[in-house]
Amino acid sequence: MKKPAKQPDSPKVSKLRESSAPMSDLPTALNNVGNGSPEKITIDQSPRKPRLMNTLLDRLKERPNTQPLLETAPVAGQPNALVDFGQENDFEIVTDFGRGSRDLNQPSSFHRPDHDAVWLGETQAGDSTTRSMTFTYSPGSTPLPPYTIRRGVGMGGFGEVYFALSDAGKEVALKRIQRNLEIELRGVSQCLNLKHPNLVALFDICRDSKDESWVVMEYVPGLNLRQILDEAPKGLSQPVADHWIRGIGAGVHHLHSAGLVHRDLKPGNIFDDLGQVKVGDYGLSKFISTSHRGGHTESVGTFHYMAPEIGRGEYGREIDIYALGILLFELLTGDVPFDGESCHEIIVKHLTATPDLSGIAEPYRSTIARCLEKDPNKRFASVADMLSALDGDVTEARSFQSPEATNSPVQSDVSAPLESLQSEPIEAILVAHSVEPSLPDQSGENNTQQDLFEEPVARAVQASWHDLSLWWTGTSQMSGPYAKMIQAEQKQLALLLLILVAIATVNGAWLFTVLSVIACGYVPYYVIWKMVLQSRRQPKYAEAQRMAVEYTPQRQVVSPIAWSQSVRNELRAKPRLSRIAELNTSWIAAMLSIAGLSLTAAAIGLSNSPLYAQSIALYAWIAVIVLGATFAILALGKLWECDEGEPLTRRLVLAGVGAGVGFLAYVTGEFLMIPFDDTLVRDLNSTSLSPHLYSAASHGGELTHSPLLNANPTVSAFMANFALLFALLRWWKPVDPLRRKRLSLWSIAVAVTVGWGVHQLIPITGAIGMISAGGIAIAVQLSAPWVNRRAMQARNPQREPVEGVAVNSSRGGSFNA
Amino acid sequence: MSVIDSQHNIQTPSASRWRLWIDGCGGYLLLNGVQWSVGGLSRASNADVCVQADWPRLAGQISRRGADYFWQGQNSLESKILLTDGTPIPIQGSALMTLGKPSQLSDTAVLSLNAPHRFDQHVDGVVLVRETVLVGPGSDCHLRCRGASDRAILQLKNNQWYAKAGLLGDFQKLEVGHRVVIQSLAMTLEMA
Repeated sequence: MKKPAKQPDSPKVSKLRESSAPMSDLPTALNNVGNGSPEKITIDQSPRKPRLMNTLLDRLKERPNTQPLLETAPVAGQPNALVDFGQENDFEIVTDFGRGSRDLNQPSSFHRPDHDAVWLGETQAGDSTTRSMTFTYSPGSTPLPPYTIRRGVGMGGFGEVYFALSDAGKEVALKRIQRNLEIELRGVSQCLNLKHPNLVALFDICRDSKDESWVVMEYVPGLNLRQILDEAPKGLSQPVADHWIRGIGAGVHHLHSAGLVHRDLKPGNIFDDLGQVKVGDYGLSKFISTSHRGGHTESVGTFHYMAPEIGRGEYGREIDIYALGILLFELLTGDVPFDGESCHEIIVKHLTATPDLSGIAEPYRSTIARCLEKDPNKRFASVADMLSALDGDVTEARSFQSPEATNSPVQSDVSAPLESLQSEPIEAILVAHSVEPSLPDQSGENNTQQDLFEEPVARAVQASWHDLSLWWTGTSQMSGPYAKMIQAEQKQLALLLLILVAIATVNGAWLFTVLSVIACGYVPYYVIWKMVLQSRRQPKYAEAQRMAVEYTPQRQVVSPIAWSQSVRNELRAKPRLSRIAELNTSWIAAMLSIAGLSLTAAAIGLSNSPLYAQSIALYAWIAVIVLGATFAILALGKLWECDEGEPLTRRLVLAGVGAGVGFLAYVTGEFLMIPFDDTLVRDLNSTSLSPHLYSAASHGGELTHSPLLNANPTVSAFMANFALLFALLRWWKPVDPLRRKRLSLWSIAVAVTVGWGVHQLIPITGAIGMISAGGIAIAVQLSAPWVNRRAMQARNPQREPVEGVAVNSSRGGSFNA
Repeated sequence: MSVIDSQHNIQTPSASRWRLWIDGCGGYLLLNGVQWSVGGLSRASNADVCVQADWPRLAGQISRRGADYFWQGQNSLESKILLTDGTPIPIQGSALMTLGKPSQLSDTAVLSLNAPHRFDQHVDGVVLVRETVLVGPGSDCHLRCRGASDRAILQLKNNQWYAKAGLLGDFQKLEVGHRVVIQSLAMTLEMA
């Protein structure tokens, strides 16, 4: 015999259901498990509460006659159906796994030799025990034409849920009712025609060729609230929580107004349907009637969301309001207010404990407190009341008591903020907030807008009267020891003036003249002023435009790092062919730059000396070295411009390139017959030169190894010098397109200084390394492409990098060796 | 897509498009290659990635160069834009599609849509496949199955899909049209 049972589909909450048993007797119910008592227990597996499951399982395992239960075979033809365990052992245990739940009575679970270990292991969060969510129907199946199943979605309390498509392409969720058929069908049929944007729509109930029943429902592709809360352990932000609770409240209010109670509100039953909050699984809802508010069905709900009166068999709409309070608490804090190590502890807390709401701001705190009242009569009378309390207006919501009003005012009242939150574009909100301060109805500075349209004379009289009243009441700005005395004198003077005015008025002879002057002078003035004002006020569009112009969109503040990253991303997106073309351009520019530099240097250097081939060759030699090095650095820079890169790797590569440049220098020097033993003098280091790098020069027919004189640097010396020069400096910086300046003098100075330092260690002919370093630094900067940040800002002012923020200091275009 | 279409697709498979349905998780369009066209769904649309949105039939192309993904708008004058993890793809219209590269271990990327828009073929995401696809509960998985407790690795070799559980399991062949159960993950591959 099957007992009616209901099962949650949330992975993180627990539910214990008993038949007509008071909640206080739940432990007794557990003890009765396996003893033949007709209890039916449904347990959700909660990763948050592994011990809860363990407790239940431990008790089950302690029972001597549990074993036959484990060996029971499934019902033929219903592989996932719950089975009866004899006439006496009439209970069932169902757990949730993942989004759905699984029948622990399934043979696939129990026939494993280590099933107990698996059970216990499954209760541990993060455990990777093997457990597959096996659905009866695979994708492509068509058990219920015209729907084709695409995949399983989850396993609900009453059976499997599938995502399916109709032949026409309509997405639906199909629930195959395997358990508690009558209850499910009855519940669903009552809800078939409910329509509300915050309720998962039920389309139809159909039977397939095997006479199995299917519920055709709206498919909700988004996450459920349980999954969302699992990723926000400290709760959601206040606006988001507000969005959720109002959506849930609107849906539940609609159920209530249709005479239904959800009875199983929990995060697993609430979905985010592409931005719209939807309450699902209300097919288990139960009709409320004044005569049947309790007693004739089993207790329902989920432990953490279960109102205390459920234990007494009372389940009016107050249990949903209680659950809403729990949900609101969980939305804001990420945790439930009543938690415990066991179901018994949780239930006792529901019955006796006061929730700790100290960390919750108003009006949420008072709303939750009232929702969680132990006495149902002290809770909000309706969901609309509760939601209005969140707005700080309780009395107004009392008018929404009648169910008839549900579809119009309550729905709009409840869902309006929700809809506005969803539908109002962010841009619109930003603009509204930005323009708002300049609206004329504001005080302070915006009074000038109001003053503009107020008649000046009247305004002056009004201001004077206001000042007078302030003065008279003694609230003027005057302060100090003589303030009261002065005020007393002013009051006497004012009284005197008033008496004079009164006498003049009574006398009245001149009054007509004054009034005539006012009539002839002020009235025409007022008319003209009014006309002028109207002509000024008429073009409202112009005024609106002025306000719009005054409102300039706030510049998008982009940090230099973000700006750099953005530009570098653009560089990465550059096609390879473009890069090669740019490199060629740079090389040509380098040739021209170096030619110009060399000619200039030669013109200056040779101007005061006779022209010899040897002296000219020296300049040519330097030009060749600088050109070779510049070509290599430009090529590497082009290769490395996409990212910041790893400095060590780049230095190593540069050392190799430097060695190559040194080799080039040596070969061309030999070719041009440059005297290598010239100018090896060092300023600091006077140690002897390494014989591995320097050879003895033939001097007067004798080989000498003088430390400074008569030594020829070998090719190794050249290579070592340039390798060191290249490795010490970050040559990719002067060729970086994102460098701050096109030509940085600082970087040239750094290069020359480092060249000088290298010369102190490994001198080469004519301090050629030092000269080359400076030449290379100039040539690469002149020829490498450069992203002009100012020009970019001018083109796109909304992407302005903020100066002064910590930037990668190397972006200054200098080496910062 | 109708049943007839589905059957037709199974019989005449395309070389580089699959649909993967994972129970309790979602449906995904798997696209192999290095360049994919993107566009709005219409009767005449033949873009690789179709979105039910107010997009042009051909909005542009996503291409992969090395580990990087780039967006090139349909206007040839537009320059390519690098798409990093979480980058929204700059397409004029109401739909917002982002490219995600959740795992550093694989260059595979996933296209996802913000609510309320949906991809064509009723899938929840589009996977731009580069050899391997990670499936599991973690945020570093391409196909995130929150309810699952295990991970699986899908691998594309010679236009054939293989799957294995975790890092240490053995690869097993994913046959088109057959449901494969890998620990807690049950999946079915079909040609798209």
